[in-house]
Amino acid sequence: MAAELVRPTVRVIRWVPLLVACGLAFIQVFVQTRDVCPRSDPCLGQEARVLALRIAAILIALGAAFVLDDPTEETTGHFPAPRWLRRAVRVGLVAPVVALTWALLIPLALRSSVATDPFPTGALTLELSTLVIAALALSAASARFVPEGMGGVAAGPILLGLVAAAHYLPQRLAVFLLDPQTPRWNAAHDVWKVLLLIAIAALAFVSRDPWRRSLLRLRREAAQPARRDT
Amino acid sequence: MALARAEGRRLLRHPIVLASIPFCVGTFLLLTWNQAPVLSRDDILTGLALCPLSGAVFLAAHLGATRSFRHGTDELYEGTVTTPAQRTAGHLLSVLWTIGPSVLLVVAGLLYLVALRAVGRPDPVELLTGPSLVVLGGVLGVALARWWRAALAGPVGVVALAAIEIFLVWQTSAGRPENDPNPVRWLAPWVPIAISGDPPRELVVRPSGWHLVFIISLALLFGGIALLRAGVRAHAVAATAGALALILVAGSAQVRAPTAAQRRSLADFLVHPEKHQVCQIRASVRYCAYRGYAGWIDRWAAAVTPVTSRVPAPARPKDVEIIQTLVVYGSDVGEADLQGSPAASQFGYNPTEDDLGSAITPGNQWGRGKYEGRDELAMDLIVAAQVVGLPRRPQDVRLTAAEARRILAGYEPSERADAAKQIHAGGAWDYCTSVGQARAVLALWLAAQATSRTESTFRGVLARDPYGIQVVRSGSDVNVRNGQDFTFGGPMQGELATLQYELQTFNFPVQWSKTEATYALQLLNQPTARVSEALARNWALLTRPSTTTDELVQVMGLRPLPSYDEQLREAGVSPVHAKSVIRNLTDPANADPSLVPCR
Repeated sequence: MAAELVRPTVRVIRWVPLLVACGLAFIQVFVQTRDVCPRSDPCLGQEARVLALRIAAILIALGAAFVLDDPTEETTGHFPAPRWLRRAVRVGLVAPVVALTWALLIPLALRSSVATDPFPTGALTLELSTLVIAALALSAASARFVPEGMGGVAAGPILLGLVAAAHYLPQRLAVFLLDPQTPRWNAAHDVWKVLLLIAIAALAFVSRDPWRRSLLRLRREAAQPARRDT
Repeated sequence: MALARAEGRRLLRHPIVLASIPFCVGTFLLLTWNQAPVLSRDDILTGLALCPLSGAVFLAAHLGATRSFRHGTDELYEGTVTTPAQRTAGHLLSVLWTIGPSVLLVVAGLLYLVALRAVGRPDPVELLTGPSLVVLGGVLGVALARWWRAALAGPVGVVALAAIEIFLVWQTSAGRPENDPNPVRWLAPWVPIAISGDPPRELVVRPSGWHLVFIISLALLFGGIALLRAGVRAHAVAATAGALALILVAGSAQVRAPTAAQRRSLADFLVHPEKHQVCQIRASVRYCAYRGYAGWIDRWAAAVTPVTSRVPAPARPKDVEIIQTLVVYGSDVGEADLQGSPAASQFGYNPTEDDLGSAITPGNQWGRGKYEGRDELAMDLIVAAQVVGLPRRPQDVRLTAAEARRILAGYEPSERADAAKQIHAGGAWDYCTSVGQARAVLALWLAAQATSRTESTFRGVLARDPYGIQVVRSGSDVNVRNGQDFTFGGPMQGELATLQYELQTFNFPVQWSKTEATYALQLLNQPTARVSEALARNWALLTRPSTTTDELVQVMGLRPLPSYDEQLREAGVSPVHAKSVIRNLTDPANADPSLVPCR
């Protein structure tokens, strides 16, 4: 069923926001990691590259927030493909675009780096994954409160609010660290792993099919009128 | 106007705008919570505090101006009497409704600081920067909505603005000296007082007036750009062109680096401080503060007087001076501007050659809450050392011939001749130890008892790094068979010795030991009046350099501290194991040869 959904889903996904966001991320990373100093005495450290890629991750997440927008969701509820499957197909189609963009952004950010310390690519990829899935979950959760189910409109500001709020955490709880050598870096990324799990669980929860109730609940509902009759 | 009024009210009630207000309040509190308020510095922070509101108004204005597009009602508006340009103008004017709340937030911030006994005068232009940024945010949101209606544009615009701010302020100055940041940073919406460090407002050139004009002209330019979307009209073109011309004038005026004359004029604050300071004598201590900071004399006196008042009247020193200095790091004053003045020591200081005098030199920062306790204790430790006769400057620590020889022995033979020019009998030395001296206990107690904050800071310092060898019974680094681990932070109390740097004082040579600090703590646990009376009775004996700590313990009836061996034995460590732990941790054979006794 999923394979049959792929072609029509490719046509209906709102690609433009994601592609624009990815394009802007390339420009932003290019500008922010341009080192005008000589290679022997560079001006940009790893912190500047981490910051540039983190801003790019937020941009990509903002673009991805529109991927689940589906004004026809209510009218297609009776289709055999459940909502979670339709959303999973959308996420599956977008994932390669996000992955490819990220795979190109990292060498772009590191093009002038002379640092010998390993760059925290894995940790930043974890942050990107969490931000993207959180944006999708926020978009899906807020769809019911936004006209025509366009949750992406609300997800962007909410995500920005959460990112801003995270910057107010005290140093011992900070999740947006710039220096990979800081002692809290690994602990902060353990928090990111937990946040990723929460985001995945939230996305799965808000993607349940409201039109498909469990057999148990159907039986209970069927039994209630019978009890009233007696 | 009717549309502007309706949209203005909607803008103020928008959930994003309302949600941003706690962020503004939180930002301001986070930026100011640990510093005694200085209005001439904190007025700049009001601009940063309003940035969350500016971003929120940007998002809300974009959503408001694209509402008809999202709802598919653009065509319905064609039937109304207003033109698209008038509707855009209505949205642009609606942004002015945010001025009231943003000014209110700035005033609330100022009142909060004034209530905390603020010093200095705020610059009205700096105070207007925040509200102007909020207006600029709204206008940018409307302009973006007219040219890019997608819902993505708002959040992406906020991220782009944040990235532009970070890039212009911090990244354009990368690789430049701290005292010469890139003037291009003034093209950013909000510009901090410095890129690094925390210099005072008196030592930086801020073209804040031109910057306000720049922000307002940016708002006018983007307002004109928004109006041009509905069609090229003469008044829109004129407004846009006028704003552009203003931007060029204000932009070029503000991105000029400070001139040599401006830098010299700033440096005069440090080269001739007496011209800019007010001085007062309180309880025989002389206090001098820059005019804008005169209110801090009360704070300093409140910390120092309880120390000097415990000294018997005939023994009170007459030469204690508290003379404020200003932090140069990150300012627009360079080393060359300060040649020959004591403030040049902030760029580099040779303790054996440079005599910075005996005045205590608090800077342009003073802590608040527990941070005030640290600053007070730092000041009181130096004052207390002076009143008990401990050395105040490296020039007061005179090396003996034997000490000079011992220190020189630690140098490589090739460097020894050069070093001997500075290290010689009778020469100055940058630090000395007060270990075993009764007057050190006295000084530490005098400083710690001064205020409730100094007492709590002193207790905190000792709790973090206590006397003796600590036996840790559990933990991840337990590495001995019986489940015990041992920690030893050394005999000296390093944190007390480094507190002076918080006051911009670099020439206080006394190193404190944990033994004396722990005895001072015992005195602190006794009634202050009783201790004070006993000390006054024995003042001459206890301040004599030759009086040992053990004598003070007897005179004051203190409980002798256990030796390291006794400590370990009490903790149940076997004698053989205790001996090996002491040998491994305290390394008595490797004592620092450069540590000389305070005389």
